[in-house]
Amino acid sequence: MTQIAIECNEIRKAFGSVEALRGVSITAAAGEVTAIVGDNGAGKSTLIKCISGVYSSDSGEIQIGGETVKFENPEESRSFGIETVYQTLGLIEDLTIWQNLFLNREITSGAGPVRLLNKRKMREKSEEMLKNLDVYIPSVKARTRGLSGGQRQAVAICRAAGWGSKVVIMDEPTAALGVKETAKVEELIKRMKAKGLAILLISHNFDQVLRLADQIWVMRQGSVMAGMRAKDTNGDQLVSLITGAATGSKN
Amino acid sequence: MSVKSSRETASAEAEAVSKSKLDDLRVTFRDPFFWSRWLVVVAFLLIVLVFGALSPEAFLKTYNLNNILVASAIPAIIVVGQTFTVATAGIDLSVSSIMTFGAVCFGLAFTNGWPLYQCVIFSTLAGLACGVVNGLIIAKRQVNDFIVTLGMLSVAAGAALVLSDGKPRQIIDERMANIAIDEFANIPYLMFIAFAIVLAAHFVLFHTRFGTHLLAVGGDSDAARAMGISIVKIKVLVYAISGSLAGFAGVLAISRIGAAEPAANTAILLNSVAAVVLGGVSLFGGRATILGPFVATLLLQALSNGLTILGVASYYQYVAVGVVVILSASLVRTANK
Amino acid sequence: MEGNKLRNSKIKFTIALSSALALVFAAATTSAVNAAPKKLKDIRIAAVVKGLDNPFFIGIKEGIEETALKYGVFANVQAAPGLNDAIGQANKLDSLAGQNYDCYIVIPISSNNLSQAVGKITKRGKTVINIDSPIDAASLRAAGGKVTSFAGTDNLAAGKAGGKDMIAKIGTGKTIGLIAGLAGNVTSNARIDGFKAGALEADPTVKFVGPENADWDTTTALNKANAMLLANPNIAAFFAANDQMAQGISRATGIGTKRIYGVDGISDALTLVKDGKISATISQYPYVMGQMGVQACIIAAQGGKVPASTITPYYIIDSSNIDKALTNKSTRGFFPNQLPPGKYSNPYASKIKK
Repeated sequence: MTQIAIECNEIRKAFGSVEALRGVSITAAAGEVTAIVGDNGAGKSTLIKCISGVYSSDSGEIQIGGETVKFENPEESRSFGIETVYQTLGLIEDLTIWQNLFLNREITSGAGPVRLLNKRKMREKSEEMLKNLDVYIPSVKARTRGLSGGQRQAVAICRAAGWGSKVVIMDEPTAALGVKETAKVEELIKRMKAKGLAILLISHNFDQVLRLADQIWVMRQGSVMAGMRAKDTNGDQLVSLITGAATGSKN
Repeated sequence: MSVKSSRETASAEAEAVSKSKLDDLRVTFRDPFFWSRWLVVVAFLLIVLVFGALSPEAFLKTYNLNNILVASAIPAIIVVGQTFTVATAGIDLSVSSIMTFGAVCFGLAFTNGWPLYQCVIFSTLAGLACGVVNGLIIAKRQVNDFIVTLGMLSVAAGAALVLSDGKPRQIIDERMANIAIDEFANIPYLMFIAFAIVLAAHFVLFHTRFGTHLLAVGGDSDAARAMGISIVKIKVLVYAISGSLAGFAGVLAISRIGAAEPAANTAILLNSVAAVVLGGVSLFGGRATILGPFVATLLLQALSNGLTILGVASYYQYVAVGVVVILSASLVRTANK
Repeated sequence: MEGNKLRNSKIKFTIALSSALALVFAAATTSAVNAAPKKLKDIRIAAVVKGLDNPFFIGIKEGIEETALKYGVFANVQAAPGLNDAIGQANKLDSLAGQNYDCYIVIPISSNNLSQAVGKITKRGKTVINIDSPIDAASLRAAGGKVTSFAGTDNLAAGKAGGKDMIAKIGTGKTIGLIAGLAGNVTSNARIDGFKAGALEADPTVKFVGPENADWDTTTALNKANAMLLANPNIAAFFAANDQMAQGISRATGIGTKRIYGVDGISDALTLVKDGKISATISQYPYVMGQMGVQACIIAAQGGKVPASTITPYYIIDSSNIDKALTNKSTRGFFPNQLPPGKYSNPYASKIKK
């Protein structure tokens, strides 16, 4: 029986008079890829931001591993094991890979405001983090600027996955990548699945969604239209659900 | 047979090693940071060589090199502060005014009979206060740093004039004068102080968590914020550092010219930005070096000194400094592409 | 792997830099001090003036260079990077102090900023001649410096003469606007104080507005004058501590035919006097100051006794003597009247050995 890693119940969020989320309920299980699909303006990003703490929902509750949680900001959300890989990746180009992996989580010694960096330890741990997900980067000391798009994506994902996370949110992870690199990232996502992480995937690429996802939630205009196992659906059905040509059931 | 093959493998290995060394070199040469640092050193050595060749009996004298070091010390301290602010993709245009303000505060304290060390602390704190104000307005109110520090430039300069009633205060104190005049092992005290600050800054920037966060904020403040780094904290601290260093530099300026002068000095501001650019620090933030701008400061002073000795008219000196800055900046930009 | 490369390159960089600096220091030598009396052709003079963006200091430069040429001595005239760069000027003098000059002519930006550098020069046994703006005696003493001779205008006396003349021309019971130079500058203070004293002596009921600081700058003076006239429309006349500021005042709104006095006597000012835009300038003779500076240096280098201080001449140039003043044109046209229209004393010229 797969564990439910995260459950959202009746999440509502409005911006002024615009209701972005009208009572959204989804679940995502550990060790599974849960995809959220929908047209632009369906509320996918807003939902994700509520989960990751960027927004706080107006009403509704979020449960992590069965416990109800509330957070006001991204740091608190992170403390519950929710990590996000942003579309812009959030990597600092001129910093090295290990510096990026350890950004704001640096291993330091010293007291008070003066914290000395323990560079060697961070480099070692970085290599471990990458190895853990079978990501090959020639040197963790290289600056992120010199990496290819796919390599950067891999580093951003390793960062999200490597900190005791339970839920990793990915927003269009391969949108800017070529075929070969997309394949590599998808392999990486599968390895993350194998490690027991719950992955929330937003993607416009239905082929990718059908390839990777175990569970799919379709959103339209702030509500969940349907939820189903990926094997029980196909591209055409998804399209019609998204556009509203058909209605579905939520299970 | 086995001996032959082992020799073959040995030579193949050697070839692989030398090839990887070549690759090493190739990667090093491709790292833009490498170039930005080396260019300023090369430029500096070039200038020393050229002037040394043009007037060996004058330029390469210990006395003269000493002059260059003394002249570089105060700008070097200001440049450290400027490097920090530029590294966060900001800039501090108020440094020269804060320096003047700090000097005036020192003068006030001194003529009121405060012990010397208290006067020094007072100046530095005055600079710190200005810097904190800069940082808070820039970070919390989200006003552009150019504008805020430009405003502070006027405010601090005006405050200096108000506090001093427009009149310079003479500071005749042997200890103060000695800081500017004395030397140890042929290197002036002022340069020891400046270099200590340079080393401390290098350490802070590259070996502490604060330094990494600073570079992160400069490189991509959105990404830094997303990882939970407090942009406000970093910005306030950075401008506080710049302000404190400027206030402290004011004390050293007094030791040099013997009075707390309320007149503003714009040359120091322009030279600080020039040195930061020359030194290979990106004005867009995120990529910085402390030693680069330090060498650049030495370079600019050596240039001015050399041209003076050669009797080149002051007009041409302005042109020369400008040309050096533009040339270096454009070379570094091309290397960075 | 790459980290090793970067670390290696860092190490190489540090080694290269250190060895380069070490080489440079090793090549450096110290120079000997030479104090025997010199022949004219061997005398080397260095001068550091204030900024060369002001015609007054260009006049001094001309005086130094042409006098040097006349006697066959060598002169290197340098200027501070800016009129307010006190530290920069000290750096310049330091740069020259280590060279084998026999004599240094200095005009300090502030009363103190060159004292330390002069101290160093005195320690090396070289002569320092101070012209135009005086170095403060106390700070000079503290730095162990000695000025062999001072040649400059008595700004107090010049201001006083201007004040008296002004009252004579505008009458009693009037209000005069005062515009000063860089805040706290000794020369500016002396001229303003002198003017006020002279005016008060001639008319104890005279009233003043200001002094407002305009940093020796034309545009700033214009803005200040505009503001002063707006607030005090009954201002009858203006006194500016230098000609460039007087120039600015002459273009103020509502200046009409009010009297304007400047100080220095730059060529633009003389033109303005001729055209009636300003009433008078208390002309100084920077050429003469430069000339005296060089002459004093030569006396010292020849081992003679240098007169301790000399007041350089000033003349009030107004419509009555403007034509005479416009003769004696400078060879380079910056400061037209090299020499005053009347007699003046030069105690140096006679002491020079051939």
